[in-house]
Parts: sequence; structure tokens; C-alpha cells
Amino acid sequence: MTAPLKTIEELRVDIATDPASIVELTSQVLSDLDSLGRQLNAVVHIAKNDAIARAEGLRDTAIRDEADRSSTLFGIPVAHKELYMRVGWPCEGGSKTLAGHHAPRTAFAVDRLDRQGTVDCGRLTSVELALGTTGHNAYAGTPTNPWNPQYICGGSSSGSGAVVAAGIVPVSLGSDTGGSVRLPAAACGLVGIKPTHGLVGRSGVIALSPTLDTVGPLTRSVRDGAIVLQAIAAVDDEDSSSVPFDLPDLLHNLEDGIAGLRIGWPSNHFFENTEGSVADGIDEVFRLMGRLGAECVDVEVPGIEIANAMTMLIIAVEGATLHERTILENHSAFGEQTLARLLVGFFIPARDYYNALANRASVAKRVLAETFERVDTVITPVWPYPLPTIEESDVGANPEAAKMLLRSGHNTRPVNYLGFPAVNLPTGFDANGLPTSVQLIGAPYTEAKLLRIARALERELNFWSTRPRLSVLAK
Amino acid sequence: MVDETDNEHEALLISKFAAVGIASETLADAADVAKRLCTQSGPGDGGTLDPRHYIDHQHLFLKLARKTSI
Repeated sequence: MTAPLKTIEELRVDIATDPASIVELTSQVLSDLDSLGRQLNAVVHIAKNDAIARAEGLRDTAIRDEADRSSTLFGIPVAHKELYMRVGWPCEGGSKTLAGHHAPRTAFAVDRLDRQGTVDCGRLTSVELALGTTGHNAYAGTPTNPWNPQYICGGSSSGSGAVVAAGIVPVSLGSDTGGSVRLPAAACGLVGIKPTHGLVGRSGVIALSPTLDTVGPLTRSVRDGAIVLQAIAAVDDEDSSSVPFDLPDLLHNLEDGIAGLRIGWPSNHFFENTEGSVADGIDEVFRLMGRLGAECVDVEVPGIEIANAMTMLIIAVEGATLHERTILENHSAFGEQTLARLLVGFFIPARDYYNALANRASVAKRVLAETFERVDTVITPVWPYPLPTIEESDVGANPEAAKMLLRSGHNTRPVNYLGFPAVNLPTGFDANGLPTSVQLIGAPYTEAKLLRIARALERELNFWSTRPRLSVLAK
Repeated sequence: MVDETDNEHEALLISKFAAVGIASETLADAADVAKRLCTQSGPGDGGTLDPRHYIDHQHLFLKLARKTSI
């Protein structure tokens, strides 16, 4: 018996009608994590006792009418990427180098969800230390795609993608340094939100690159994504990148459609080296947006070409610095690919790292002035090619895969360099029956507008109406 | 841009990590990838001698947040 693929708002109705259902729902999720979640290689920790105790506590306060049940998230079960700390829980970041480690604190974003009444049920597989795009992890396990187990889930929030797509929980928090929310969201048919840099606090999440790291939700619907982003967006006093911003009510204008909004088709960078079938799919969505009343134009995104290399350079240097001591003391505990990627950072001269940081603001200003003065969003692919299988994309077993994987973040990494927000939206299926998607990039703090655009498309495309094709649920 | 100082630094790094048992081929590959990334990222146009640029990104976002809130 698997979970019912309900949205947060649908589950909320069930809970409001019968508060005792919080415990039943939590038990169901725990059972599904243990069976289907483990079958997908997507689960690293199931917090059975903590979750049941939490659910019973919420149920009891709700029945006594002592609970603040105003939050849409009250009683909603969640499970997050294993980079997210909860005090006392295992926290290995997908790495043998952290084997046996337990979290000394609870992550800011997890605490924000706690305050809204969610029930945290466990932790989900990550690529080792979030350093990879496919989901391969020899230590923690390589999650399989719920739509077809031969295919990757994408990474690095790979377990989050698998578990939400399989319908076990409606939301999972992931982290995104170069695409690690958007790539698994695209691979698994989910809405993935990479917020504006600084909008959501990151303290208590294992860092990869503090300059570029962001945290955001993976959900099956735009409305769910909006609800969760609303709950976690807040100033984090322990995160120096945190920016005070009064986020508007994200549900308020969500159903307003896109008539009159300006959609940009990027004339440079994003469609270079993109396979024809992927570009054709984006073009279909672009034309649909025109039919829905948007103004569709070509637009240049100046300076974006160097942003890709700048992002990889910053991640390499900061990742190497964060893990230098462990590399020197225990390098054999790292996965081969992880170690190879981290080592790159030591060989980058300080002047090049400084250059990458120093140019960030000027590139962002140019894109704001020359692109986002003209359009409300830029539409791009996420993956530049149809999703590969686990075998095809295994660099360890297939060295030829390295070039393909280098391209995997071509469309996502530059957004982290800019610090701008982006949303992945599932749009349909490719020839192999795997999800296709679009990325919507916006100017800083325009999440409400991006989600409104995504919602207008979601209503038309109705991606999750095809859920019987989900292979794990067809069994 | 690779000069003599870079080459000496690279040799020191390879020696440092080889001493803990990391294969020299792995280290040489990492050095090659680093050089490629530096070449691809280029000099940029940010005026790196201007100290404002280092903090400018955070400052830009603080300004945008205030502007967008209003």
C-alpha cells in the first residue's frame, strides 16, 4: 500500500476533518519510507519513534483544541535531504567521511517547518557532500527514478526527488549549489524551487560552497511549493548571506494567469549544445505561453557564458577548503569522483577565485539591466539532453560519461552565480517515458511572479494527471 | 595564465597530497581541470582592483530587497 499522492492542501483537509488521522498518515509514511523508499535506495534514516511521538503530540493538542492549527502545514509529514541537521539524528551528508556522525543542532529551515506543525519522518539520500548531478553514491546508495528504475533521479538531492515523486511525502527540502534542487526535480517530474540567494536561511545544512549554496523545496505541485517556500523564507541570524525581505503572500496572485507578462527566450548560452528534442519541448511551452496571453520575445543574457565556469571554480575552491583536513587525514574515505572534484579546488590560484567573486555583482547587474528590464522570466531547459540511465551516466564504470555530465549543469549553474531565483516545472514526457521540464529564471525576489507563471502552465499541462505511468505505483 | 610561481605552487601541492597517498595521476588530472576552469572563466569585467566588488553582490541584494519590498 503506497501513499495517496495527495497535495498538502488535500492532506490538510483530511487532518482538519479528523485530527487523529495525523498519526495514521505518519504511520503510512514511515511504512512507505521503509518499503518503497528503501526499494528506491532513497532513504538513509527513518525516525520512527520521533515521528510517531510528534504526530501523537500534534493530534492530542488538536483534539484538546490547544494547538495553533492555522498553518496549512499542520500535521503534514515531511522528509529531507540528509544534509539537513536535526539534533541527535544521524547526519552523514552521503559521505563515509562522516560515518556515525550525529547532528549537533537543528537546521534553520527544518525549525521553521517544525513551527508550522510538520512531522519530520527521516532523511533522504544525497550525492556525497552534494557534489554531483546524477545521484550516484557508492556509499549511501544510488536512488532509482520512480518513473523507470533504470534511470537516474538527478542530484544532488536525489533521494528527495525519488521520495516525493513516488508519493511518499508531499515535500522534501533539498539544497542547490549548481542545480541540485532543479536537476532532480526535472528528472523526477517535480516542482523544484531555487530561491533568491539569501531568502532562505541555510544554517544547520551541511555546506558545499557558502557563496553559492541555497536551500529550497521539491514538491509535486506549484501550490505546495509556494506554501513551503512561504514557511521557510525568513532571516537567519546565523547565516551571513541572509537578507531581510518581506515575502508577499505567494498564494494571493498564484491563479492570476500570465496575460501581459513578458517571457524571454534566451538567444545565447542556454540552448547551446541542447539536444533537439529538448529544445523542441521548450519551444512548445514557449508557444503555449503566447497563447495564454504572454508577450514572448527573444532576449540576451549578457555575461552568462563565463558564469558557468565561475560557478564550478567557486564550488571547487570552497569545497576543497571545507574538506581539506579530512582529505589530508582520511582521503580514502571519499568516493573516487568526490575526491577528484574536491582536489581541483587546491590548484586554482587565489587570483582566479577572487576574480570569480569580484565579477559576480557586475554580471548580475548587467543581467538585471539588459535582460530583466525587458522580461519577467527567461525560459530554458534544465537537463540539456534526455535523461540518461544510471549505467550510461556512471563515470566510474564509463569514463566517456564525464563529458556528458560536465554539460548537465550547463543551464542551472549560472543561476547560482547570479544568485537569482529559478523554478523547475514538469511539462510532459520524453520518448523514454521520463519527465520533461522547463526552468523559469527570474530577477531577485520575484518568486511570487515565477510561481504564478509556473502555476498557469501547470493548469494547462496537468502533468500529475498522468501518474499511473509512475512505474513504482503500477506494481 | 600560468607562470613560474604557479608551476612551483602546483609541484608543492602535488607533493603535499601525494605524501598522504593520493595518486599522482589523480592530482595531475585535478591540476589540469583547474587550469581549464581558470581559462574558461576568463578575466571578467568587474574591475577586481576595486575593493567594493568583493562585497558588492551582497550589497546589491540588500538594495534589491528593500526596493522590491516597497
